[in-house]
Amino acid sequence: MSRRCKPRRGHSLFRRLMLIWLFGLAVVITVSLGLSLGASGRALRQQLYTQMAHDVASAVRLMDYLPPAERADWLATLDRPYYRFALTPPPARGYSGDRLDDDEAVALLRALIGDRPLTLRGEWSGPEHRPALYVGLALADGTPFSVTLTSPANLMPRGRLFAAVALLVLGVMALTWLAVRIATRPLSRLAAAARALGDNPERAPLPEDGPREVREAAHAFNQMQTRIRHHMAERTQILAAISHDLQTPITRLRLRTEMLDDAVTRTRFDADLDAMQALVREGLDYARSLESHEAPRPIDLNALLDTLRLEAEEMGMPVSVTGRAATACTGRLHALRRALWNLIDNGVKYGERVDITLADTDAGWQIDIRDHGPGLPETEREAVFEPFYRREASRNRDTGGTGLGLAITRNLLRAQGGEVVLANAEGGGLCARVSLPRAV
Amino acid sequence: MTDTPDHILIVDDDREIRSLLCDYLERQGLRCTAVADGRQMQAALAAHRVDLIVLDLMLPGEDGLALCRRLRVDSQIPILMLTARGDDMDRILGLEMGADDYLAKPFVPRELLARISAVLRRTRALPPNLAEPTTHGRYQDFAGWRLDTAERHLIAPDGVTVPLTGGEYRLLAVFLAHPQRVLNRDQLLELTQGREADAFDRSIDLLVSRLRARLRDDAREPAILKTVRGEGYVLAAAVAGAAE
Repeated sequence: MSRRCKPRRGHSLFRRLMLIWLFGLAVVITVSLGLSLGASGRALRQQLYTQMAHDVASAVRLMDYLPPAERADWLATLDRPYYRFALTPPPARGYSGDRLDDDEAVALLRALIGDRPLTLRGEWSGPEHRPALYVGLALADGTPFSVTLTSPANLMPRGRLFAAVALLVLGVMALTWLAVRIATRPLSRLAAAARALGDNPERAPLPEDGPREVREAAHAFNQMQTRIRHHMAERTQILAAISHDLQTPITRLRLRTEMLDDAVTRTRFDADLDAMQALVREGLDYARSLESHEAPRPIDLNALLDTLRLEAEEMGMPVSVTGRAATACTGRLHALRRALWNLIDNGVKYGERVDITLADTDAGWQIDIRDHGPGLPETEREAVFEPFYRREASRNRDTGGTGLGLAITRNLLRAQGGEVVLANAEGGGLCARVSLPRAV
Repeated sequence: MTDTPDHILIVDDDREIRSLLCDYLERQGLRCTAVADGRQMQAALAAHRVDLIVLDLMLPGEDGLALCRRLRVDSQIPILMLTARGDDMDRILGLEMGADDYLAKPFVPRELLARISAVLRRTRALPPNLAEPTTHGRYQDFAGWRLDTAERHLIAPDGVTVPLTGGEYRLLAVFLAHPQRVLNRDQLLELTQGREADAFDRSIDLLVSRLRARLRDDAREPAILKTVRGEGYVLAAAVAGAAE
C-alpha cells in the first residue's frame, strides 16, 4: 500500500540546474577572458615590436656609421632585455619561411634600414627556452650582423593568473550552489510536506513565506491539506453519527427481545443484536481511533501487560507474559491498552493461547504477541490491517469480528508514534510485533 | 431486605425505551416509574419513595450530569447512569458527579438488572459505621500514591501511571473509602463484588497481594496494605481527596 516512488539517482533538479549554470558560466568566462587577454596582448605586442624595429634600425645605422674597430665596444650598450646584437651571422638553426616575412615588425624594419637582404629564422625554443627570432643582414661594408629577438616573458606571471581564475571559478560555483539551492529548496520542502501529509493529515501547515511562486505553492498545498482533513473528518463524523444513532434502536430491540416468550427466537435475536452492537461499537471506535485526544503519560508496561493478562484469564483466555520493562514508557494508556487487547483477543481467537514477550531496548519497547494458530500467508499480512478486510476463510460468522479490530489497533499505535507488524513465528503461529519508540 | 419491591425511577427522553424498560423491570418484580426529564424527576421524587434512579446522560434541558450533581447535594439515592458509547469524558465526569455506577447503551437488559441489584446491595450492605459518604473528587491521595477514580488507575510517587484490573480498582477504592479501618474478608467481598464470602474464598487475599505488588509494597513487611491477623486488612495511610 505504502509503496513510495523513489526518484532515480542523478536526475535531481538541483544537479541539472547546477550543471547548466556551471557549464554556461565556464563558457562565458573562458570566452571573455580569452578576448580581453588577446586584445590587450596584441596592443602591447604591437607597441613593443614597433619600438624594437626602430631600435634595430638605429643599431644597424650606428654600426654602418662606426669604423669596424669600434663596433664591438658599442654592441654592449645597444643590447636590450629582449634582443641582442652580434657581429656574426645568425645561427643556422630553427626554421625559416615566408610566414616570418609577413610580420609587421619585419616589414617596418625593412622600411627603416633601406633595401637590404634579411635572413630570418625562427625557433620555438631558443635561449632560455623561449621562442626566438634571428635576423641576419650585412652592414654597409659587408660585415655580417645579427639580431636575436627573444619573446618577452609572460606579461602576467602564470601562478597569479591561475590563482585569479581559480578564485573566480570557486566564487562562481559557490554562488551557483547558493542560487540553485534557494531555487530548489522549496520544492524539496513541498515534497517532504506531501510525504508527511500521507502519514499525518493533522501536521502543521507549511509556512507561507518566501518568493511569490513559493508562497503560492505553499498556500495551495495548505488549502489542499485543509480540504483533505475536512473530507476525512466528515467521513469519520458520518461513521460516528450512524454508529451513535443506531444505539437507541438497538437498545429498544434489546428490551423488546427480552419480552419474547419463545426462548429459541430470543437467543437468535440476541445473537443478531450482538453482531449489530459489535459493529456499532467498532465503528465508533474506529472513528475515534483516527482522532485521539488522549494525552501521553509515563506508563508502567509491566503492570499494563499484567492487568491485560489477568483480564484475559478472567474471560478464559490463556495468556502468558515474559520479560520486563526497566523503564516507564511514555504513551497513551487507553489507546495502548485497547490496541494490545485487540491483538491478544485476535491471537486467542485464531491461535488458542497467546504468549507475550516484552523487551526494553535502547530504541524503545517491543511487545511480541504470539499465538499458536496457523499463521498468515505473507500476502495477507498487510491486507488484514485494512478496515473491513475479511479473510476468505473467516467470512463465516463463527469466528466473529467486524474487520475493524486490526485497523483500530494500527491507528491507535501510529497515533502515538508506534507501529504493529505481523510475521509468522518460528515453530508456527502468528506474531504481532508492537514497537513503541523511546522518544515520542 | 424489605418486603415491598424496590422502586426504580427511570429518567430517559426516549418514550419507547421508557415504557419498554418499565415493562421489563416490572416483569422482574421491581416497581417502576418512568419520566422524561429533570422537572418530572423532581416531581416523582417528591411524590414517591424511590430506591434507585436510572438516569440517562443525554436529556433535553438539564442533562443527566447536572441532575446528578444537584441530587447529590441533599440526597444519597443510588444513581445508575446510562451513557452512550463514545462519550468517555462524560463517563468520567458522571462518576465524579456522584453516580454509583454507569452502563453504556445499548445494554443487555439482564446486565442492567444485575447492576441495579448490585448497586442496591452495595449501598445497603454497608454497616452503619461504614456508610458515611466518601470524599468525592477525582483523585484520592495516599502514601505518595494517587488513585484516579475516573480513569481507574494508579499514579506512582514518581509520576508513572500504573494500570489496575477492575477487581484491583474496586478493592483499592474500598480501602481508600475506609482508611485506617480494619475490613474483614466478608465486608471486602460484599463491598467489591456484592456477594457473600464462603468459608474457603481466598479471592480477596489474592487481590490484596496483587494490589501490594502494584503499590510496590513489600509482601512480607507491607507498609500500605497491612494484614491484621485473624481480622482482615487495613489501609495504613491517610487519604486526601483532590479535584486536580
